[in-house]
Amino acid sequence: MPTPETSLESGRPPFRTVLIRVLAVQAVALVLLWLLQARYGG
Amino acid sequence: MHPINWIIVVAYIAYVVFDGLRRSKGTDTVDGYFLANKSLPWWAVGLSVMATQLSAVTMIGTTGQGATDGLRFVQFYFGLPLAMVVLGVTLVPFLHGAKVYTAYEYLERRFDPQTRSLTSLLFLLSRGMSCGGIMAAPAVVFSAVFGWDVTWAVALIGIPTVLYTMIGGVQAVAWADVKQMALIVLALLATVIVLLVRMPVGADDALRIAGSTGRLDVFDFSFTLTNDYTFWSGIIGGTFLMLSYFGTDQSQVQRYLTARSVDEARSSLLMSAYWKIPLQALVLLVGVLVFVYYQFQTPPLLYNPAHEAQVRAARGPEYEELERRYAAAFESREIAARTVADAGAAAAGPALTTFLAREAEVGTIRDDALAMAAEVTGGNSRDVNYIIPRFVLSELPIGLTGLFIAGVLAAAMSSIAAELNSLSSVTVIDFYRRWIRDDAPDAHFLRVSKWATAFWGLFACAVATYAATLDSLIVAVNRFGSFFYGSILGVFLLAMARRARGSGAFAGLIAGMTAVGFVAYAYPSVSWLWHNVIGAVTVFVVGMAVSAMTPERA
Repeated sequence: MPTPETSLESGRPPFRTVLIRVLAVQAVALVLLWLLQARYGG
Repeated sequence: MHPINWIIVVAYIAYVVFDGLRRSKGTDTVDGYFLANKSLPWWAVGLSVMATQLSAVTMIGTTGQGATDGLRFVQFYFGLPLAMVVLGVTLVPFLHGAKVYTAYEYLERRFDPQTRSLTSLLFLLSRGMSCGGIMAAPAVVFSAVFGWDVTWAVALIGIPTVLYTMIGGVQAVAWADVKQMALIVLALLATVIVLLVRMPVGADDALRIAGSTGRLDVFDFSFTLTNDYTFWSGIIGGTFLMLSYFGTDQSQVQRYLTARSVDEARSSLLMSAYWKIPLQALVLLVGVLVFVYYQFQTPPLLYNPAHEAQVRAARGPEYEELERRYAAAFESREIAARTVADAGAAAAGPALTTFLAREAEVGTIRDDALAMAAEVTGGNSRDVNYIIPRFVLSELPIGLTGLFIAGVLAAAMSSIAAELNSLSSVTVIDFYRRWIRDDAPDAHFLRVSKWATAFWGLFACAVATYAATLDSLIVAVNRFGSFFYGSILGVFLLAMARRARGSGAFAGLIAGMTAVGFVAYAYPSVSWLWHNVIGAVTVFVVGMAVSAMTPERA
């Protein structure tokens, strides 16, 4: 059974790296939405 | 609508059908028909995954929700990126590596035929019905906006979709999805640009006006089980829902089973992980900008033209009086909105207070009109789904209107096609070949698969035509699936637990559905997003307990 540490494919980044990347992109998206709310929110 | 717009819409439909027929050349086996011979590149599968999830309801309903409610619906998708990554290392390698046609086929290998048959039956029931619901929602809007009979609206969406899905199989579905996704994004971006260009105020002022009404409030951190859209229901309930939908629903699983390799299947899901939240924010932003646009351009008092005509006919003088009050209130609100824009960010405080008071007056008159519509029509008068279509038809330039309507059709067709193809695969692989006839040549199964697609297409059209006349049925149809999603996810979670057994999975599935049914009945205020968590956890816990009590078979 694959574990969270399983490489996505030989030569491809491991799960942890992909997870960090996806979460980092989402964090940026959420921060942008947060800034939008903070600047213009009611 | 202008003839040029109609030409764009008709040309789009003709192209999709033609392309579908062209794609049928490579689908002369069941493998080709349901799995595209596992030949599709990750980006095509990724776009297909996104197009399947983005239905016409997103194009007209979610944008409308943006106009009335703002951006907070985006919280619903907060769990999606995490769910995609988790699926990439759990279910995707299991299912892709298992060389199966359907997700449920795997359950027989892991557990027993009963568990497979029950989960696939639940899929057929819920998806067969929801396919009709997906078709009914835009058909109702088209029928009201263009004054067509609803049967014709259903036919316009249903017939081309059934044709290219039936003949071209999953290959036609996936490649049509790629183009449809491009068309949808193009239509949305073009609409945003037109809105910004035509708005008499700058983007900063427009956002300040929208923000003052709370429409840019994205985050709600309150922890309440009764509110559909909070940060926590999105993160927790949303993760479970997305795990269920993308991991166990054949309409999505079939997308990534067509990928060339496990790695490409994972990459296709990661595309959604990266892009879903920005895309959904864009969809809602279109609605928010339409709301601001209508601060400077008089919107209709009732957006549903069919209701408007009925109210005018039944209570003309009363409605005209409301319209007069509405025009006056709109004018005051427009002046207030312009004052907010002219005041600039630093001095907008008092101007914003006046604007909000005028906005409330306009809202009260709209509420009166909606109440009148409800009395006259005897039904639901909510007109959120009509805001964007009315805007598109009356405010967008020639050509872009056609592009947007084609985009709505594309969104409907891409979701329906994926549903039909997956319904056909489950009918043939999990029932016909499993229980009725397993020794026929491949050509026989291919023929049956095409007829199964046609059958489900007709079934969906029939449900859509009936549902279109009954508002409450569309809601019921859409909620029907959510009763099973979490429980089916629970069975797949059990499949990955080494100690789980068939008896446990079957008992857990029954317990999970019972638990969700009980909560839905006894605590109707609990948001449906939490049903997924309740279902999945109950199935897993009961499944493991029953498995532990069941002696291992020799």
